[in-house]
Amino acid sequence: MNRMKRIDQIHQAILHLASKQGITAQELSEMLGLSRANVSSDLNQLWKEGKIRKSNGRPVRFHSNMEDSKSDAVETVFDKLENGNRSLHTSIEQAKAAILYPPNGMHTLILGETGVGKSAFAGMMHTYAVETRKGKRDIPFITFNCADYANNAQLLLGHLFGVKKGAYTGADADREGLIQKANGGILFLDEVHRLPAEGQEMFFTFMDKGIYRRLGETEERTAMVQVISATTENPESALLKTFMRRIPMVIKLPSLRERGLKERFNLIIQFFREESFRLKKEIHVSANAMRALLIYPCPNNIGQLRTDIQLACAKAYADYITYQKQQLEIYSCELAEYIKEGMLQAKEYRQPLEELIGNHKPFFVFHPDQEIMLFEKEPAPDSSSLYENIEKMVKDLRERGVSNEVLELDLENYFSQYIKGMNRQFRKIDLSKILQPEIVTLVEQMIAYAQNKLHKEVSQKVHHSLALHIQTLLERVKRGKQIVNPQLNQVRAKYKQEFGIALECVKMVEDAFQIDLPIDEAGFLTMFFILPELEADEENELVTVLVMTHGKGAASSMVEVTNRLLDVNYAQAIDLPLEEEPQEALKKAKEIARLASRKAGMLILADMGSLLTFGEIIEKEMNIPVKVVPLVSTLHVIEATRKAMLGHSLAEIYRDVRHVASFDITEPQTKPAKHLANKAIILTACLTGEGSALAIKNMLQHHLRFDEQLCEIVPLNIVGKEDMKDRLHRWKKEKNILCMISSFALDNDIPTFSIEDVLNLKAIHEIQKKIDVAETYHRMGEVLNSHLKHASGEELVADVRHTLEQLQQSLAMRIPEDALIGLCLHMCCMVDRLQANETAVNTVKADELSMKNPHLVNQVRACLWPLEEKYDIVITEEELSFLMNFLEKGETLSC
Amino acid sequence: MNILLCCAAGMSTSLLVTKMEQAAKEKGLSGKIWAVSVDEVNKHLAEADVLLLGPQVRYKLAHFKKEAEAAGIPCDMINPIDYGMVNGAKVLDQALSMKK
Repeated sequence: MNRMKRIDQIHQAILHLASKQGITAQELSEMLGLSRANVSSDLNQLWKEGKIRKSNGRPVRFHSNMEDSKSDAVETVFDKLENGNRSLHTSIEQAKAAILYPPNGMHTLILGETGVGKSAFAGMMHTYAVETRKGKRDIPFITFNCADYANNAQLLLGHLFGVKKGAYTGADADREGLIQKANGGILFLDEVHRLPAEGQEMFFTFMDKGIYRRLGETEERTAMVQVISATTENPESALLKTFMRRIPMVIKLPSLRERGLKERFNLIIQFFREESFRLKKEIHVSANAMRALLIYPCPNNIGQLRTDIQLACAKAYADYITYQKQQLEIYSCELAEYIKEGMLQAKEYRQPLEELIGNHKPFFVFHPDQEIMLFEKEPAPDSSSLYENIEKMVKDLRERGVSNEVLELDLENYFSQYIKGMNRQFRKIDLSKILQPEIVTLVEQMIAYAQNKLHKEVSQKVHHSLALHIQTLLERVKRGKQIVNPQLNQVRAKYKQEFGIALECVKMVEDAFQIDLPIDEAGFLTMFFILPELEADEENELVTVLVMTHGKGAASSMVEVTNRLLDVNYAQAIDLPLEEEPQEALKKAKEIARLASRKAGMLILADMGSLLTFGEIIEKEMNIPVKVVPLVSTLHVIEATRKAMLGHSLAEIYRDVRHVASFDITEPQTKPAKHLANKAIILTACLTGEGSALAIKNMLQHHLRFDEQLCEIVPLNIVGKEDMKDRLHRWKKEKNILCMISSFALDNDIPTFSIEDVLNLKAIHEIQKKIDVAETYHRMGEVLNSHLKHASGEELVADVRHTLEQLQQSLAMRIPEDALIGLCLHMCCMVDRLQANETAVNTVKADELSMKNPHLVNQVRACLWPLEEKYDIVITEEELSFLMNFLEKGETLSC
Repeated sequence: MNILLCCAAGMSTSLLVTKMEQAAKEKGLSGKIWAVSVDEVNKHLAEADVLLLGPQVRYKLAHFKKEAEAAGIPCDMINPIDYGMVNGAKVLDQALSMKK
């Protein structure tokens, strides 16, 4: 009795686990917690009964027998498809007939709009052939898109028919064509209307008689191939007419519109289940999101519907792993704008919609275990790696201390992110160490070719990322992983020239490594060549900061303090103990310089002696810009590190850090501080588009008190074409941005509140405070205007605020907002007083100043310099002394 | 009522003093309103009924609260928003409310 149960349990396990590799007795025993001997004997029993199969070789692997029993025509792929897709009934019957037609099936043409699933359908026809033609498991299925080589007939025909060595320049070996590869199986020709005129006759002959020749060859070859072709074009066009005469079977696939809501509903469910399965997570979809997905206009049909659902899932996944959501949830408000707009038409469809959705709970929940991978054969986007990349990206960002960032999910942005990310890592890794030299050479060839064709420079960054991409590509191919590009058709249409170049590059890779690559790869490579246009900012390379001092541990302790204060691991240290030779330190410094960015350069902060000469040596030998700051202190290191991480240039950092050191101020910074006098702005941003940003705006207007003359709420559309960061960067200079409402931290300098905190009113108090402060400064300007003898109030307030901002940055501390207001008013009065040549009523003893920390005094002086310049004043020691009092004794928060 | 204001060097507050005096006049109040620097507060404490501190010297608040308590008068920091806007009327109200 007991034994029967166990054997059933094992049989069940095998049926469920049925993977291609099968399973060993050992694995099964571990999984089920049974002794290996028992499992082993049961397995043999099952095998004897014919319930399972086993493989040759050691260890013996057991397989389920299910696939075989399935081929007993219990349920074919088409039966599964028809279930829930009634409108495909005729098409399916036709397809079955075309496949079953003896001996090798009937040539077929599939018609239908973009994205109705022609390729998938062809793939299913192949599956059906495998399922029904017993004993013939290896029926080849070769796909080819005629558009890929439409401009190069020779290349296209060579691909199709094969090439004899020497047929044309470059044909340096015999090559078999796709027709030969498809012998005994199916050749799927997509976009067949793009078949060039030169090839048509040859191809028709082949279709009629099964005879063909390789290019440059005289002898005839034969192949038994069932040709399934597909097109989006009108079958009345000239080519298709002749083509159709040779094709007995024409199958028309209905568009998504023609298939009705019920079927669309089934498709949506299917796609969510597949995503849930890929992610191994439950997905919750709100009823409204379902409604929107059901009715939004979807001109690219099922393909688009599927991609849109995948993007929605990817977005939800991003929210989930950045802890913004407890589980994978998709709400209508987070869908792309054009999907949401579908809801506007909801009224027209109310009746059928409610029939489908009305009875359900507010949420549709998809479980990972319910999956049926019906559309497996379709060139599915490589979602798992997209998810992996999101995961990696987020992890990466977290490690760099960024809590969240925009995860732009369309491919262009994804790629520019990808490349940016790569380059961050690249600063630290020596390229040649991790890449094969062949790849480096190959990439150089590819870039040279692209530059020549495109007549433009391809940046070094692209160089690096391309090299790494190729490396990853080769690994994927080696591991037999699929390469699929969901956006292939869009990319091809949008970037014709670059796509052509990418095709050539794919060929270079194929030749160099003797491998076959799918056309999809060209779609990816295209992205690398268009990238320079997409990328606006170049600031990603950062200056390396290196501290070197004599003695044990002096440099490292400064660096440690700095890194801890700034909560980073950025500055580096080299100690030179007295017993050690300076050459030793130089060697280490060169090692660090080798990893530094050639473009950004390196800043060396040293104490004295020979260490100060290292900069010159390294600059010459390593060909990298280096600046040296002598007499280093912790303050220098902090300033340098902070500026370096903000992406300042070497020259800027050098200049600013030297200000910390001395009175020698030669280049006063008189940056206009105008933006602070402008209207205050609160930005509301939303990943899903302007709609929700607008809703947040209304919400804020309702809950906040503010003077519309002084403050404005501006909704922001993140999804827009223009690079978000660029726009923010520009605005920051021009406008007085108080804070931002966004689910992502777009900019670390701008205080950001999460949408959630606004909705539950938690953030309102703090935002109100910011508004009040902004208004206070504005009024301060007005009041001063009527009081000041010399300067304009508004302008002075803005300048003083800017100065205080600089001061806080330079001293790496935060002055509380309350005190800042007081300080600002005080300094405005001070400037006016000094301009009028009045002395302070109450003088603080001047000698106190010399008692103070000279570093701090210098720093404060440096910050005040622009103010002195602009208003033509000299800030007296008494005045300075007060500021010092405040800065030293005041309750400031170091940051 | 005599209101003593304290700020760093005594000057920024003088603007506020002017505004407060205006407000006091409108209310028909009499008394002295004047500003001194932190170093001089002690000398003037005896004359004052209320001591108010500018927000920029709020680090001295605890210290002066003690001193004021010893002198038997209330002491507080000026509301920074009112201070920033140089809102004499509001600061005057604040002073009045402290002196019950």
